[in-house]
Amino acid sequence: MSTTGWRDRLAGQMPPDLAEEIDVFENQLELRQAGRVEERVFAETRLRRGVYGQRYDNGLRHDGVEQQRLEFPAGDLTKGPDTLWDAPGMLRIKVPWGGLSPLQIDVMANLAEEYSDCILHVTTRQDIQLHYVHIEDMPTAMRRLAAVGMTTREACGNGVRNLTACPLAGVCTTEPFDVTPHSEALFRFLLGHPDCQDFGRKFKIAFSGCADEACGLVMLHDLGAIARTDVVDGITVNSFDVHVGGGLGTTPHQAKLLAARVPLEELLPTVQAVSRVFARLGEKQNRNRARIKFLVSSIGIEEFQRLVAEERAILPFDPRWTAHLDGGGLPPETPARALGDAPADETSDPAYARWRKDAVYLQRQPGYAVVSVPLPLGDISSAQARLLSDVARRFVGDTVRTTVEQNIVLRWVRVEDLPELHAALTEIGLGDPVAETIVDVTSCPGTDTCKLGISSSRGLAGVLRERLAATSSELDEAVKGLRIKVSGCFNSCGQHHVADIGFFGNSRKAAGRAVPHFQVVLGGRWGHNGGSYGLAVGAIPSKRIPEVVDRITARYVDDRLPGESFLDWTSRMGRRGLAEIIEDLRRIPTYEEEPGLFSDWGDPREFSIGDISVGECAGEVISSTDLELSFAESIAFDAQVALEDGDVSRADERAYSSMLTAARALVRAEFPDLPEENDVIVREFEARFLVTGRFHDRFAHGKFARPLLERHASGQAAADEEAARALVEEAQLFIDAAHACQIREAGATSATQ
Amino acid sequence: MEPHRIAVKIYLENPDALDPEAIVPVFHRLIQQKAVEGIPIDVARYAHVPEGPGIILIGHQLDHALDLSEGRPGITITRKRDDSGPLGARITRLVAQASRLAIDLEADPSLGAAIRVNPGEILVTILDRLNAPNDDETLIRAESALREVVAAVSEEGGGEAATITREGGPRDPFTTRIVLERPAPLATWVERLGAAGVAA
Repeated sequence: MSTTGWRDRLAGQMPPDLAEEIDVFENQLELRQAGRVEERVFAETRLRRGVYGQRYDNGLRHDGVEQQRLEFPAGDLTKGPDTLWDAPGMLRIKVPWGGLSPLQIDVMANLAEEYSDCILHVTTRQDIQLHYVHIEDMPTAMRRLAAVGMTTREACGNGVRNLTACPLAGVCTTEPFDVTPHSEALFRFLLGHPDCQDFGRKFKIAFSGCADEACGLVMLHDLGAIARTDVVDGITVNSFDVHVGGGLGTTPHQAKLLAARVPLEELLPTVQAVSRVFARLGEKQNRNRARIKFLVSSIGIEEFQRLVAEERAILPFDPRWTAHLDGGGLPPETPARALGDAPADETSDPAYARWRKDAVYLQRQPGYAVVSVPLPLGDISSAQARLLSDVARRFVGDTVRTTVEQNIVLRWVRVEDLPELHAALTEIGLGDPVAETIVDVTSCPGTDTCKLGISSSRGLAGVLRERLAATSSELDEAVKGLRIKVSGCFNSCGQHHVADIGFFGNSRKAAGRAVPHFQVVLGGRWGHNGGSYGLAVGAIPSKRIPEVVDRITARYVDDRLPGESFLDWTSRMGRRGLAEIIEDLRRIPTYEEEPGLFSDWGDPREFSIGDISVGECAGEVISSTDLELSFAESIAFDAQVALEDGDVSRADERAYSSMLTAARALVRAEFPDLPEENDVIVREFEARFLVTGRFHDRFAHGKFARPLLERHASGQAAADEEAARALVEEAQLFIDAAHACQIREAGATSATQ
Repeated sequence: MEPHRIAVKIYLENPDALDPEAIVPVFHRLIQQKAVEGIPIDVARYAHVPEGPGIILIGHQLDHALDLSEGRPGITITRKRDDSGPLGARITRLVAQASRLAIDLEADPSLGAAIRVNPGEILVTILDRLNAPNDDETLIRAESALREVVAAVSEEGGGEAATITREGGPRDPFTTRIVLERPAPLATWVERLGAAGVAA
């Protein structure tokens, strides 16, 4: 592993704060290997760096006959509860609002080759995931991403996940204004924000330009903002309708309107206030009830509104709230190619005509179009990704976005370039006009890599895709535009609730054998921002699901009233009517009659749920104090390394910084708005913990605090190696004392409850 | 040179004869029987990705793949970790493992003799852009190691009879194509290189 090599190579190319964070994380790997970081703390730390576990990472795998133990070299060393160190993991790369550049695509392609399986996977939240990555390769991968402006921070764990937005934002013909700069500003604002470190569960945010389109699917998010424009006293006013408390999962909720017409300058503080309320009042013990949707539901939206308003009123001013409105935000997109005098894109090629009809969206900016590039199951190989980045460079520059339907769009394509672009995409295997059609089946990773997957969502999605592609030219027009989405379990990562035809994995038993099934969910509303959720009509063996699709679509075509949408048809049919269509498919024959039913798509092993293990979607509920103390440990470790390297000034600076971090951790637990200035941190620490005796222990009293106070007061770095060594040792003692203080205080708190 | 990831690919002679999905149960069986090196974990299916990595038997140290890249199906073995030693020996070990897997897949009755491997061409890729950028300097550093491979897989006396060509551009991983003028049969590769491998 060439960690030092890449670190040196990229020195100065990464944003300093990101570079430091990655260094801290890398130190934590070493500390974990040395047993100096508790596994739950380490698990949440790595989750908050986008480092996820994968299926079989508990070291057990059912091979179809029996459970096998995977004997990794690192033995029983873990990277989290029941998660072995050497087991492959997943790196989730945040792609805020789906925005990508060709250079970023190139770098991710490189990472896919050097650390993963040569595949970039686009998720249903516009992220990119790399699978089968070893944890020891993660810091280097993070550095290489940071050098091109990408982060994995908080991609997983109990924090603000990737921020998604409609891929047409800024070029849409119906949007009131471009939500992209606001999405970017909110993303940057919330990344690592102290008010977002104490959530009991993940927090997902989406932006939409349009209320009536599917757009950003705000209604199924924890928080969403829908752009609007009003004319007030003859003046056009842009604002957002902010919604809160949506979510899918096992119990889907539609988001509720938190506040209408939130002024642009109020968006960020409003979200910050929501975050504080969630951090303060959200459930933290029962992980199944810890999403914000349950909080909103239990206290009611009116009370939630009141709490948010109350919180907003006491928020200390932050200039970042409006920096993006004062010229400091994202610059507007510009086309790579100016419009020319080339003739219109007329051609007699039927393949081009089909693609032109289904893959091209004319932007509101005359002469330009958005082209959808469908990725089968959201996957693109590293080689193909580089070719796509070349195509993007040639035709559109940096205006590339991922979509929640696991595809990529190229924006600002000159209409006159469309034939040439089609040819270029076809040459690299990406010219099929199937995006956003029934062929373009969306799926979560499911049993391929997810610890929670029950049935093979990708296996099913692949089969459906293949079958539908083969018959697509014969499909009724009313069916072609339907959406099929598949989740591997009830957690809805495939967004099956908002599909026309949705499936989520489960299992049934027959004569002592487990049979993979999918629950059929019909009539979800994709439009209106994921406006309503489908009806569950019955669980069907996995291998019979293609027949379900055939029957349902055929019946719809036969039954529908003129102009009747699939959604309206399912409503008219009702759950019972729909269930009757597929009722006979529920029967499970004997194993001898139909053995194929007892294994899943793409997996010859006899089906078992034995490989399901503890998911990490819920993260670990670790207090922000614990996390910060863990960071302090990591910085102190850095100081020790610097000392060993003979770098006295760095050893001094790191030791001092580690004590400040530990002090800040203690203070911030009761003073969340603690400013970042060192003077304030030390002053508050002294007042709250030293003067009061809270930092004292029975024997040493407050002496372990002395090095921080003295070092801070002097402002002088250690003069020589001996002084630096002393400070480094004292820093560790300070951190130990901070831990002890926290433990004492926690014991005192529980004793009084 | 101590690259952290190396891959070796040998090509199928009859690429159209095999449905890649047919490999899936074979790979699962290899895991069940613990019949391949490298701590096998699971089977990843990417045949739906055009000219992609195909079907991969993912392991902790080694990946074994029916590889569809370049539009030319083949068998690719990728060493990912826990490997050291001179570059020539490392590549040769991978060649041995590829040939061992190839022979066993050729003989696997469930595949109906659909796999036949061409011993005349080997693609060696060093997936480490930091230590082995795709340039002529890396080729110079790697040449003797590649010549070792040629000697190991050529007929007696055929040690020099091969063309070694570096391919791709600066963005690509270091990639060299070895075309052997006098390749020994795969069975000879296995004999000489003494690969541990798939049980009969």
